[in-house]
Amino acid sequence: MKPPDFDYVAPTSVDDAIKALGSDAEAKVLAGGQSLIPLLAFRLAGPSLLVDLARVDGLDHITDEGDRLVIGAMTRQRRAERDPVVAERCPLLVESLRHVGHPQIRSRGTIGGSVAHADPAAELPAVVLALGGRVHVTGHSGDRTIEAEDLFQGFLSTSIEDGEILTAVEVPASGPRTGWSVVEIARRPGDYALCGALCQLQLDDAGAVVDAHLALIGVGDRPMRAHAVEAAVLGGASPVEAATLAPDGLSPGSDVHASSDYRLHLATVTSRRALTQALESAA
Amino acid sequence: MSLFGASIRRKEDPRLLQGNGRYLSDIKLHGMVHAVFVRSPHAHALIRGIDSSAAAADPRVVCVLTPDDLPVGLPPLPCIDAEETTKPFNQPILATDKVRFVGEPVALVVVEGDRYIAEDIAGLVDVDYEPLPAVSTAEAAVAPDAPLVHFDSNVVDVLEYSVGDASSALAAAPHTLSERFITQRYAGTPLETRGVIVEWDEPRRGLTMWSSTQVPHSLKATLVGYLGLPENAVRVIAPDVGGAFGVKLQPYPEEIVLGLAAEQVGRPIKWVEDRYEHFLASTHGREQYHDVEVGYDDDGRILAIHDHAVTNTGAYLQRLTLVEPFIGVSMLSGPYVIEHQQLVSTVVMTNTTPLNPFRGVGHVQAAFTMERIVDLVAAAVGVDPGEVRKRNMFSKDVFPLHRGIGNVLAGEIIYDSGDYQECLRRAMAAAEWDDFRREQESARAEGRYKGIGIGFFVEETGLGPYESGRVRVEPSGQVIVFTGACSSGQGHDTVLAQITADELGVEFDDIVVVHGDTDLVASGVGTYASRSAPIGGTAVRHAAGSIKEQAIRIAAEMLEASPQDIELIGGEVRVKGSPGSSVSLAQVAGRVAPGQPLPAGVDEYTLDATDVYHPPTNTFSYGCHVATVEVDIDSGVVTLLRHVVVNDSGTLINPLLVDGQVQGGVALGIGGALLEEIVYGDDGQPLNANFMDYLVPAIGNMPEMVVEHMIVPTPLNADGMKGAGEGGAVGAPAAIANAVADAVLPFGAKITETPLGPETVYRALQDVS
Repeated sequence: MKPPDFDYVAPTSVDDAIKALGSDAEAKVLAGGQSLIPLLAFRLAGPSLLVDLARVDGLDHITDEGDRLVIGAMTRQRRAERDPVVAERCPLLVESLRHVGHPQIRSRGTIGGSVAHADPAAELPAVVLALGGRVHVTGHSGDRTIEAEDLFQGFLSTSIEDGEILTAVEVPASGPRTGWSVVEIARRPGDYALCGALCQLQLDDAGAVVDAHLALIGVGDRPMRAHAVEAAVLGGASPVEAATLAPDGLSPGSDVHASSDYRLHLATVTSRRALTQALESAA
Repeated sequence: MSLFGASIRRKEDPRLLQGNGRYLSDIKLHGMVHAVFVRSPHAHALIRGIDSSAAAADPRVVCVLTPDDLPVGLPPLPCIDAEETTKPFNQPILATDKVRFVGEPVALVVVEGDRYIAEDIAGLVDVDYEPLPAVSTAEAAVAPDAPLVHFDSNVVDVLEYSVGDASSALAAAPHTLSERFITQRYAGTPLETRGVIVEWDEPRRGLTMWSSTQVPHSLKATLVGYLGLPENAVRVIAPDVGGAFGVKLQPYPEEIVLGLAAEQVGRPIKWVEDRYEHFLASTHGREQYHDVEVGYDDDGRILAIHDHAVTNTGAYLQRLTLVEPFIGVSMLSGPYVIEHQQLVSTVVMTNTTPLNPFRGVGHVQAAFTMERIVDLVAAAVGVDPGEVRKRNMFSKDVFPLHRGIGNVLAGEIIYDSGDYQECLRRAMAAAEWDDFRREQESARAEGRYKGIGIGFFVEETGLGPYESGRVRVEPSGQVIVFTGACSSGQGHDTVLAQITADELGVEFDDIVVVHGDTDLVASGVGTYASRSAPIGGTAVRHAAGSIKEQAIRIAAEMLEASPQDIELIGGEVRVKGSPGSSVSLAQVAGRVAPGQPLPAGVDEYTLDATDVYHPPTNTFSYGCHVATVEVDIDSGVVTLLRHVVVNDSGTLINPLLVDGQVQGGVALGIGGALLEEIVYGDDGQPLNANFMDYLVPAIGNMPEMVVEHMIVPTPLNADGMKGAGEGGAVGAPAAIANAVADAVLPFGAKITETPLGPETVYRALQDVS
């Protein structure tokens, strides 16, 4: 459980980081290390160069842009969890962060690192997906943004190209009469969920759902947006009715913690509970 | 006030809590080199050849040892509890022609530098494997066409015990029920993994080995045997040990190989097991299922039992392989009068990590099986589980109770003391049983499902054959206690000092306890089977008692009085009824210091006494756990509400430490009840050999815990002590499983296995609906 030999650089600017990444085809970005370091220790990853973003200027910020909230990639999860602006603009993100590992992990782990790692059971990629957010990336050929729905390509896989760095995560700010909920079934508090549902709903003055976001984790090779459930809720279905649609289109894998069938069942259970709680908190 | 029986804080804690412990990893010696083992990635494979030339060519390599480099005819790892019928499926020190589990050591690589480099170079050792079909479960291993782990058959042994006539009694019983109960495989997971440093000592023509072990003396004897060295050429030191739980209770192949490499390398070699290796190569525990048929009457009295237990003991015999299968059936009936018992225990080999005793060995499965049966009987006859237990329990006047079952290692099972019915009554009262029943009812009306369950156990503790204790008083007044029972964190320094202080009346802070060094402690057995207090403590009590006699004899001359007129009180030796006429124990020790004539009738220049205590038979602790839980019917998630334990481990030296033992044991039991399980694929590949997937309980899993003590002293030793280290782990899975079963009783779901992860509980609920 000792990593193989690798080189390490800690650039202080995005440009230098991109140069360093471009200098070595086997380079990897280190952005908190809460997933990468264990992979190195098991020798499941063997990059020849680690480019640590911890000292890069301008990647640690929480910026309120009115209808959008922009968070620098290297913002530590613990900071975002406790930030009053995040609490006001994106309470679903705060609630999700409370489910990420433990405080020690969140003090090291970064917002951008988790999103770029794209673990299908992780909360942060699912928040960005659920809310229809996007990420900002920078590379040799310049800056671009990637919509969340185009970002997650498969297990630990994104459309960020080799040589590109995720610099910021952007989510829409929540509006009035918004409720949210994160419901997870996990073996222990702080573990990756066997299945989880992240939900945000907005009501109109009459109490009807006018905006619905639901993403599921642990039920596929990437975070999954539950479009069918969202549509049903927007169409007036109750949480119990709508949640029965949660397994549609999902084919989760089986592992030592849960079978595929059980995860599908939990998709319904967690969706129902998340919808119910989100409705209650919106009302 | 005597320190004996007082809840004082631990002597060792200021040092350990301030980071001044000296664990194996903390030891760094001049010129030290680093070892790593090349281990089998296959569950079952022939070794066609090993090419270590690429590794050996690396300038950083100090040595590579393959099986061919070991002395010819090296005996395999011994199993000391093998019966005549046990097949000799022992483990070679390095795998020779064949590997039989993932993680089996195949070669040793020693390098200059550090563990990182050692791992890089180990990857260069090219082992040519020819994979073979593997088996990972006991059921697969006994199938007609199963691959053979060794030769002949995968059944190593079948142990059989019988009391009364179970077949006839079952046939005659008004009711019977049959069920299979499954206990899973656990890993030991002490905070500190195993680790070894060995240093060749040229002037001594021998070696010193530091090892994170429970049994330094047994390791020394093993090295003496394997290396062919005289006894005085081998010194074993167990430094501070950060937990052990049984997985450090035998000398391992790694220690023997490192011992064999020591002279050739000529420099200190360090090997620290990493967590991945720990999951693969340190012994596992438990994996055992029980097929039970039980006969009972209308009142819920259990008349007869037939149990066939099957243990998946892994790929090789280990030092104490038969304990798990023996205890699993022999202690099955626990506190209950079951006149007719037929017990069969089959031991099966598979291509998995070997089993050896682990905290609560065999008792966990026995208690889980028996306590689930009692609840099934209670439900079948419609009587409260507490009442059914009471009807079946032994009364308090049956002791000593011969159970008519025994084995080579443990001797006959003779329960020594106790009051089971009172323990049950107290535990149910502390759990507020009747109040909880009302709470359960109102919760059910709201669609919430709570449950309450009992886990009663009787546990064989305080195993022999012996333990040593030595007490020496220095002229300074310092008292040094030497014990063969070495600590892996339990608090030996504290409790042995309490016993000594009680016997001699000296200050607690003047007592130093020495253990874990074979040069300093002449003989010893070690720490396991909840034996250090009853056996090690009794030896120290006896040795301190001899010091007292000696001191009185010496003081008689000093005080010009007759020995029968002298007493030792509060560290002062004085003439009875004449408090002004006294000498301190330090002065007495000074009177026999060298350089002066000895007092008449005294023939040694030291105030020093040793006792080696051989207990007549073992002590039997017991306890009653009552767990309450809530089950989320939709998901199967179990939430623990409260956990009550009433425990009898006899006289308590330090209730605070016994509380800690029980609480820690319950935490392990919670792990076993809900979370922990080593999982293998059908191909023998481990699927969760890391702390992300092997789930030990965390603080978030702990319920409110209540621990109370019953004290029924054993007549078997001077202080009435029974073992206290394991019962917490033994009763908890049974109690929690019964509580879960009680919660889901309205649905008729069957709870017959652990761990009760959410999917297991969910499936049990689905199977009935």
